[in-house]
Amino acid sequence: MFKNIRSYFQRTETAAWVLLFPSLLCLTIFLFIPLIMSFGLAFFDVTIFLKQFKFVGLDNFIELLQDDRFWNALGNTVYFTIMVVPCGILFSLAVALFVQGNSLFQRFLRVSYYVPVICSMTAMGIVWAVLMDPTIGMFAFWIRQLGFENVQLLKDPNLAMPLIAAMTIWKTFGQNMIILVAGLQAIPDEYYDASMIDGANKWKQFFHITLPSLIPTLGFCVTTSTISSFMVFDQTYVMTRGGPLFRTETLAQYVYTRGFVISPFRLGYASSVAFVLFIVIAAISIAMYYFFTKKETEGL
Amino acid sequence: MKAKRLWLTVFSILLAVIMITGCTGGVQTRTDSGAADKSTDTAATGGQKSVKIQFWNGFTASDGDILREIFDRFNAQNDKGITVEMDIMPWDNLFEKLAPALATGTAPALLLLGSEYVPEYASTGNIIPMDDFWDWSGLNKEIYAQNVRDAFKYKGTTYGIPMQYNTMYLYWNKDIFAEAGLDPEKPPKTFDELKKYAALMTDKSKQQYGFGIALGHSNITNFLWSNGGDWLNSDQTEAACNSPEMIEVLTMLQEFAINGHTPVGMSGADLDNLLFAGQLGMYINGPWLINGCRQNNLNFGIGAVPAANNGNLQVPGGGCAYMVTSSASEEQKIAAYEAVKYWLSKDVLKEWSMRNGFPAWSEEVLADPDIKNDLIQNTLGPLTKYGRLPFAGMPEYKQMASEYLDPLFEQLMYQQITPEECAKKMAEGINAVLKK
Repeated sequence: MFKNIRSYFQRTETAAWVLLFPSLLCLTIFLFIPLIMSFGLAFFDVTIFLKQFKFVGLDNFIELLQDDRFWNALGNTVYFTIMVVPCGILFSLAVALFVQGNSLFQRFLRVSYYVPVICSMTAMGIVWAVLMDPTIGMFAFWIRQLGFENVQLLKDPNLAMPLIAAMTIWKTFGQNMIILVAGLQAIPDEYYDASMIDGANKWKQFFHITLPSLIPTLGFCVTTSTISSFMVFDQTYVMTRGGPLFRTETLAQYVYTRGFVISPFRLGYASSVAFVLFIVIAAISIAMYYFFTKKETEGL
Repeated sequence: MKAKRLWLTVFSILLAVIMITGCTGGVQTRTDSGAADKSTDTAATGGQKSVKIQFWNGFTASDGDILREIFDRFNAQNDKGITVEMDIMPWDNLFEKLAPALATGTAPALLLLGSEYVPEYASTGNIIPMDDFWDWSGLNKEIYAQNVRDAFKYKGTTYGIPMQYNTMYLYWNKDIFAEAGLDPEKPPKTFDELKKYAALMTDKSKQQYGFGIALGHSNITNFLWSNGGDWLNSDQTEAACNSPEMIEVLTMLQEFAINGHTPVGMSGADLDNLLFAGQLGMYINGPWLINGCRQNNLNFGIGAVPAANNGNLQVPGGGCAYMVTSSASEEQKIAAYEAVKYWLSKDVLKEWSMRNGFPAWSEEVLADPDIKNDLIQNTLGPLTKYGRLPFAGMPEYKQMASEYLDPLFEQLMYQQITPEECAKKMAEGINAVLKK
């Protein structure tokens, strides 16, 4: 009998489940169960005080379709993502190409560029909000010194979101840069040697060797950046609170505002917005996975 | 090999014990209501039972330091083993934390909230009736101004014991007045004078604005009542703000923005800083800025908000009260009552008025010679009669404000809508909430 038990635990599959168990338990308690409960709440009219549950079916979703503020938040989130993901990835790639070597200086730069990544987004958001303040901020001061009078920065409805996007790129590009450096260093030198013998210049090497070899890495960076951009909350919350004129209110912030800020704290409705956000992110992630898998197999 | 295995086993067991004891932490007791009784320490200390209560408020300015000093003294002096643990945070954060805390029964026992929040939190059962406070405390409630006590009632029941009461006042920077050729001792008395003075004091080269208007619809109320308009009809069943009086006020406020006499998109905290930095000529706010002005060595004046051109004056009034949440156990409620009773003592109320500038509201403090001779008290005290509670007794108020009034006012100041559209949409918003 003991022999049977021993052989059972020696099976690779069993060992894997045993090792996975603590993580799965935590994920179930803190992620899967709240996720399912949140989906369930989307079908109820209930406030945060959870006192009266009223089943309303799809009413929350129907209301959502007619909610201008929801569409505004969705538009803002897409706008933010469109700015942050391509610009952020391109910037990370450019920096990664510059610092991919292993000289002391390049290693120092890699560490320096990674520092903002390990800082708290909330703390950085507060610092940048002060820097960008139109009255007491340093940026506004220098812009005025250059002769520009009406400097509103974060109080300008048209500038607020691009400025938050710029701050986000500054804060996060180091992460993608490190991943891309790893991807670049994994490309065999022989490819470049062979191409040089064939007379390829730097641009040709980049487009015909570097970029195709980086597709899996780029796919990972684009997908994770897109997901985190769709979930943007911290920086908009601390820098503008969704203003001015709701121009920086994103979907995640709208969920929070509906559920926790605006009386009567409609948790059911907030859950329906969160449900939509989940579907949007899932759809984009799946689409990106297939796109990059296809590109990886077919080449650029 | 065997010894190595033995050491590993002992180490593993020790680690497991540490992890388990670390995870269990202190044992929590539970109250009858089921709420986690985290803030009650019932450990006997020399026969004296000690009670800790959490106390949340949003007094982030210098008034918070004074408040903390007073409650530190209470903690040290009271002989009942009560400790008030104060947590000061910005009001926005407080309200965001409060809702989930109330939902999970983990809210603090004691809260400081404005009168406008009483209907909302009382109607949902999140703050408890405090009608029994006066009998319990043995204090003579008649010496405390009745209008102040009544400000924290909902449907005839007391839900808050007043901490302070105030109306809105005009602050002005005397140095900027003098630079603009105005008499620093003569603030604007009417809307027209306010507009004229703001224009004279605005100097864009110095980032200096004549008048500060923060975001938030209460800036409209500062002028609306004086101008003869109102938000609601007399029985509070319908909006009354789509009126010529309202449009007149909205036009005036928007003109400040169009002419660049006020910065746009500023929060109250932004404007406070601008005032302290000496870049704001005039600003309407409560008395909580007095201390900040003093600490920043601002040469300032404080007085009545400008009246309508016909001399009519009525401004928002209100204040803060101590409220006990539904998360509090009976023991914590009594501890909270003790703290509130301490606050209502003559010495504490006098200290608060003298150091912070809030008008006195109890007979014995008003009769005190120091209060009688204090310039700020003499200026602000008589203005109390012009105060009125906005949206009194309406649980729907906060929803109206956050869904419609504040966003529409922001649109007005950013010149996205006309005053006429703003008044119309505000009325529609109020009616939509009332209909629900």
